[in-house]
Amino acid sequence: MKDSDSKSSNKSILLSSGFAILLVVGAILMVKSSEDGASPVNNVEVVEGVQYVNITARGGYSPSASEAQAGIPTKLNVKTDGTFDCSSFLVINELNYQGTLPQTGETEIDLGAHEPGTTLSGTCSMGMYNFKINFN
Amino acid sequence: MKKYTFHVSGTHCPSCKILIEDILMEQDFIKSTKVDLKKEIIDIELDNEKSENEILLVLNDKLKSHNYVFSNDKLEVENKNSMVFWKALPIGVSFLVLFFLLQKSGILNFGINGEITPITSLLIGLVASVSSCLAIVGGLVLSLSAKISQDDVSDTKTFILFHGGRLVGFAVLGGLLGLAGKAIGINYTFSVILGLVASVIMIMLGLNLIGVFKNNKITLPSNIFGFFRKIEHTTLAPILVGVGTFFLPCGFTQSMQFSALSSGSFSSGLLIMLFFALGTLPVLLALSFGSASLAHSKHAPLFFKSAGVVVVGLGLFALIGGLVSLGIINPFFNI
Repeated sequence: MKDSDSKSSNKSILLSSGFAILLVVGAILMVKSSEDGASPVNNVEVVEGVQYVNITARGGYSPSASEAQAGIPTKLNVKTDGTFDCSSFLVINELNYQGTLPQTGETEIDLGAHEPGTTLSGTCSMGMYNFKINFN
Repeated sequence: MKKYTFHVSGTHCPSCKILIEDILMEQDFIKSTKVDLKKEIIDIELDNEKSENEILLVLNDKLKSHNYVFSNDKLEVENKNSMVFWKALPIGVSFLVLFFLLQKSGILNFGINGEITPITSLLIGLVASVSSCLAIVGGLVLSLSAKISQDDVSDTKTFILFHGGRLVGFAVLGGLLGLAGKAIGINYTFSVILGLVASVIMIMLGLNLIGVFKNNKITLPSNIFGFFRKIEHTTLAPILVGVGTFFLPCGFTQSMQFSALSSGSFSSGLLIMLFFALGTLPVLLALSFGSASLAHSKHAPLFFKSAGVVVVGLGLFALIGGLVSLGIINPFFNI
């Protein structure tokens, strides 16, 4: 009887482990495909000598990577639209910037001019959403 | 009269000792019993000529329904323990992956526009309670609840004090934010550091629930758990922890605090934060009382280990997030 007990329990371990592995693999595949599918968006514009990097904050920051020009004054324009999640609290450590974004609206943050080859990254207060801007 | 010593497994709570001894003393042939919870052994005196195996058969028959198992050697007990762990691991991992997929799905990111009313606060609270904030606030509630139930403290009273303290704390602090207006804000670094402390506590409690400290005989943390055991009996501690959750880093809480700050009056700040806390209440109550009822069921060992796996996972997630947001480590994942 003991043998059959441990057999059935081995079986349930195997079954649930299989299920868990399936979930993990599924999750990884899903994340991969969603990242591959992200087409490069043109979210950087230069108006009267000032470069604007436009980012939307809601359930994360998009686009999560932006390509900007180095050496010219740059401003970050963060758009919120009914945003209540973590991304509404923006942290840019390099600039020592921390702030709550308005629930709906646009916030302009002066980034200054950056050297070529540098990267500026921002995150939300809990650290699980982030974005970066590469300067070239 | 003969004396026997057996190993006993499944003793997950202090009251188990009393239960086992009571049931065994009802048997006529047993003269005395003594359970040592720490060593997981039982001493039995009886005046009946039976072989060890026969006695084990009788004991296991009497206490099987309560999920206690008696055996001759410890080895078997530890096998059983690791068996439960291998069952708990996939359960915990599945829960973590489902949580991750829920965040990734974007279901929780619908925008809420317009003025913040008590109703929208309530809705945002409901969403927040299954969002990434669950990692830190929910993880803390789950780990504390499971630990409290495991230590067999009067859990209902402790839970009511915690959740009551949380509701009142949110209301009063929200009112104060409304009163203070833009003049003050909650210090961001303070809140992130508090979050790091909470995640370390979660990881410790999680490992304790899995049973890592017991099996590997790591002695150092026993002082910490001794201290924990002392304070969980007090009235003030659960209330303070409940109020303290106001300051934990959670994007939703922070943006509601911002609304309360902008609201301009004590009463409107109070309503915003109170209704937000009410919105988070169902999930948090379910975590507390669900833990308690599972902890007192026959699935208790499996529950503690599964909860431990979940709590360690959420704790690591919160810990890494906190370090990223302080700029200590580079972000390497993006939900």
